[in-house]
Amino acid sequence: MTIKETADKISSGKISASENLKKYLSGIDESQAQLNSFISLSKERAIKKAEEVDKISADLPLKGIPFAVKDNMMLEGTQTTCGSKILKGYTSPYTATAVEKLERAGAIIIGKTNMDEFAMGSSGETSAYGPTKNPVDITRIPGGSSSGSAASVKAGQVLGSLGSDTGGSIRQPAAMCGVVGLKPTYGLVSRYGLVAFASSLDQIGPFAATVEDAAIILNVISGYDPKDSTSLDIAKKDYTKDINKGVEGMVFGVPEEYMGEGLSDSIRERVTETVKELEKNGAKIKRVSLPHTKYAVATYYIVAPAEASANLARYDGVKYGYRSDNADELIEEYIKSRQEGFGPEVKRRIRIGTYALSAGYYEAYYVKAQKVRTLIKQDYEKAFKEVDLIISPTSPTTAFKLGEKFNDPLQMYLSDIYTISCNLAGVPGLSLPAGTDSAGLPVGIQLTGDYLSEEKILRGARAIEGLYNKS
Amino acid sequence: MDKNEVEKTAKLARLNFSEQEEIPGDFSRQLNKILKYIGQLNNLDTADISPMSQPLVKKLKLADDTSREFKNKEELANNAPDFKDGFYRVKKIIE
Repeated sequence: MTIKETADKISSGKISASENLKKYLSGIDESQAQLNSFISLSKERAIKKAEEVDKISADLPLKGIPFAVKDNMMLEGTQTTCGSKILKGYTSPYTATAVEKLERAGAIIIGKTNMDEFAMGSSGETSAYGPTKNPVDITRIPGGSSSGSAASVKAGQVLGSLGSDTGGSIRQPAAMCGVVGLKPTYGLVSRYGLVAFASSLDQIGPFAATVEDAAIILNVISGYDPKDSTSLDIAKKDYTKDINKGVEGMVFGVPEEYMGEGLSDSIRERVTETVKELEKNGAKIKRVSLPHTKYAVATYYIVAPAEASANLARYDGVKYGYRSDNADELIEEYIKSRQEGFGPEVKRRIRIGTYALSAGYYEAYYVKAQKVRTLIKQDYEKAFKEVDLIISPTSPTTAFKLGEKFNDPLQMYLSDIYTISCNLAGVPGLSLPAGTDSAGLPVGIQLTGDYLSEEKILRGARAIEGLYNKS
Repeated sequence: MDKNEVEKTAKLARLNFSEQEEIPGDFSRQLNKILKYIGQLNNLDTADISPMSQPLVKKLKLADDTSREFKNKEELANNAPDFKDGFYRVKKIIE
C-alpha cells in the first residue's frame, strides 16, 4: 500500500480514515514489542483525529494516512523526549510547523518514533529507550539517528514518517531499512518545533515506501514559515508534477571519492549497475570529483558538536526536563542534572564541542572547520556546473549487527562518510533502495542535487525506482 | 587533551569529568582518538578561504518586530521541575 493509493481510497469513500486506522493499530503492539520503533504511541488521539478527518468532505493529500513523527518534533499534548532521559515526561506545549502541516493535510499521527539520543548516533543504539531493531533482520541496526522513523515505514506500521537529518540521519537509516528518505535543501522545511541539535545543519524530511510518496509529503511540509528565522521565502512547488519524466538527457555525476576504499563490494556493484541502466535509459554519465570528501567527517565532528554544545546548554534542570535530587547547591544541581540526564554519546559530543570552542582552540578547530566547510561547498558548486545530479552509495556498508560498532565511536562516525557533505553544504540528498547485498540486506543509493533541486532529485529517483521494480 | 584540559572543558560544559567509567580511561582514550582524527584538517591549506557559518542560499526575510503571546503557559509550568507563583524555583544561591 502507498500513501497515494490509500489517500485516493479514503477520499473516494471506499474506506474511512477510522476503519483504515483500525487496521494499522490492530497489529501495532506486537510489532512495537519486536522492533521498539516508537517511544510513545497516542492511539486515542489518533482515533479522535481519524473521526475528525472522516467529517471533512474535501480531498486532502494525506487524508487518513497513518503517520509517525521522530521524537524530536513537538506535537502538542504528547511527550517529546529526543530519545533522552533528560526530557523524559516532557509534554510538548505546542506543535511543530511541519507536523501541523501534516495534520492539516489529513495525516493521522499514531506516535513518536525512537531515535538516537538528541539525534547523535548512526545506529539507533544511543536512545535512552532501548535500541530500535531493523525490520529486515531484527539482529541488525536500522541506522540512525531517525531509527524508528525508518523502521516504522519499512515494517508497515505507518505509510509515512518524518525524520531529521543533521549528518545523514534520514538517508542512512533509509538505506539500512530499504525505504526512501529525503533531506531537503537547508531552509526548505520549517524547523519551528524541532529540538535543535546543530542549527546550521539540521533539516526535517520525509520517509516513505516510494519516491512519489516522499514527493507528496514534501509538497505538504515545505514552504515558508515566519516562525523559523532560517526558513526560505520561496514559491511553493508541486514535487510530483515532473516525477515520471524519466532521465533522458539528464547528466549524472559519479564521484570517484565515493567509490573507493571502505565501500563494500556489493554496494559498489549495485551503484555501477544502476549507472549503466541509467545510461541505457538516455542519461549521460560523467566522472566528477569532490576532492574534499575525505575531510567531511572531521569537519562535521567539529561543527556539529560545537553547535550542539551551545544548543544543549539549555538542559540544566531548571525550566524543564530531568533535575538531579543529589545536589546541595545550584551549580552542583546543573552539573548533576546534566551528568545523570545525558547519555555517554551526548556527553562525548558536548565535550568535543566545548573544547573546540574554548579559548586557545577556537581558531585551530572551529574556524578551521568552517573554512574546510567552504571548500566542501565549492566542490559541489563546481560539480553542479557539469552535472544535474550526483549518484553515489548512501552508506559504505549495509546494516551491521546491533552492538558491532557501539564501543568504537570513530568507526560509527565513519558510517556517515557519504551523507555528511550534503549537510555541510546545505544541498538536498535522497536515499532510495537499490536491491540487496548477498545477505539480502537493503542497499541504498544516494542522489544529491544542487540547492533547491528536489524536483530533479525526485525525478531521477523515480526512474531508478522503476529500474528496480521492473526486475 | 591532557588531564587539565579535560577538567577545564568539563567545567565549561557543566559536566562532571570524574564519572565512573566501565573501562577506566576509555572515555579520554576515545576522545583523543577522535581529536587526532579531526586534526587531519591541518593538512589543508586554508589561508585564503573564508569561513562558512551557515548554508543559506537566499537572503532571509526579516520577521516583523512584534511580540506574540504564547498561549499554553500552563504546560510550560507543568514541564518545570519546580514552579511556584510564576517563578522557576532553584536552590538558594545567596546566604
